[in-house]
Amino acid sequence: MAFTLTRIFDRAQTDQGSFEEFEKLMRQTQKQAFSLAYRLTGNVSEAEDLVQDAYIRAFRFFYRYDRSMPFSSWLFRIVTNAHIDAVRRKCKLRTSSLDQGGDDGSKTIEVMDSSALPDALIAERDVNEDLQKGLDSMNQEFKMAVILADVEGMAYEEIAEVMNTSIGTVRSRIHRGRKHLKAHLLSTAPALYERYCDELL
Amino acid sequence: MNCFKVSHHLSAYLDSELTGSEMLAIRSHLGICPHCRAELESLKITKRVCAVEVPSATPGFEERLSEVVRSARQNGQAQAWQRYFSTSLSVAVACVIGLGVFTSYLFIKHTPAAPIKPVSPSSVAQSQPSLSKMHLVDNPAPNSGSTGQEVQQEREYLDGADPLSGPASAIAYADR
Repeated sequence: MAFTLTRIFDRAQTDQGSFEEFEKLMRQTQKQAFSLAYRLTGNVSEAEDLVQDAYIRAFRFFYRYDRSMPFSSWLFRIVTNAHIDAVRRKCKLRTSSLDQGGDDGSKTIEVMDSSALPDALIAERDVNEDLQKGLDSMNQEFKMAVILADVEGMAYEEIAEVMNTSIGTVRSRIHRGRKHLKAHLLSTAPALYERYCDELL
Repeated sequence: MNCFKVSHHLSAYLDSELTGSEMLAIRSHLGICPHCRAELESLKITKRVCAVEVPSATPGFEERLSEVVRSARQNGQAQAWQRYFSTSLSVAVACVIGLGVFTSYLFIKHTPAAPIKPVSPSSVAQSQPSLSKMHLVDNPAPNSGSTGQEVQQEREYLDGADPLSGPASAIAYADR
């Protein structure tokens, strides 16, 4: 009983003491967290929501954070778990508002006008769209492994820690994920693939 | 190493995630195999496409994020202190109840028991009338052997009639 009381008291104290440390770590990692969240969700507003959710969870369980491992690995694990939860929630609640429909039951959806953007921005957006479609067509585990390796540039050992699996499994997931993505890009956006091929050579 | 084995390790080779001997073996195979070299090039391109820069967050996102975490902190802190105080209060109440129970136990344990008086036959005889009254109240049924007049007398007696001013038979019956 005394142990429980001490633990609760420590948590109440820790919330006060470690907030500054948490804020500092948050400032250092939020860009990385956002890029990971963006690649996972494929949408800026959803990525922002995911990042907020992940940081709130991280702060709530900050007293459990093991200082011997990098904060980013711990945070990415939270981001990926929060994303899995969000995907599950979304599968359950796939709703659409009928308020925006017309009298005849038709519905209008706002779409960005590509012609209003500069060429460079259009090209970049196309790459992002094609890449995102390729990533979204992948199995969640392959997608996460590829994103952590190629977007975040993490080592396989760190990825294994984040995904709670072995290095061998990570190696296999990354390889199969890349092959799937290559096949997808070659079939849906061969021009883009060729462009990158030329750039590399 | 043959092509089959090499193709499985090409991503790890690209990321330099193999042991030194494995890296050397694959490198020597790539020197003689154009098919595996082409495969490696395609993986390099895919890796490069993945590394394309993501769009930036909306303006003011950093401030909003700090604000959200700060408010979560305040809520969490309030909850933590509330939990601490409620747990402390529960512990204190449990202690007080426990102390009360223990004191009562000690009090009962150390109180000397009252001596039991021996019962004499005369006192048993004196207590008989009252037992008889109880019998009358509990069992006024006709099978008790009393007549209608006797029951009437009993009722008058039990309804509060002064036993001294009432009929002598009723008192006699009650005292029987």
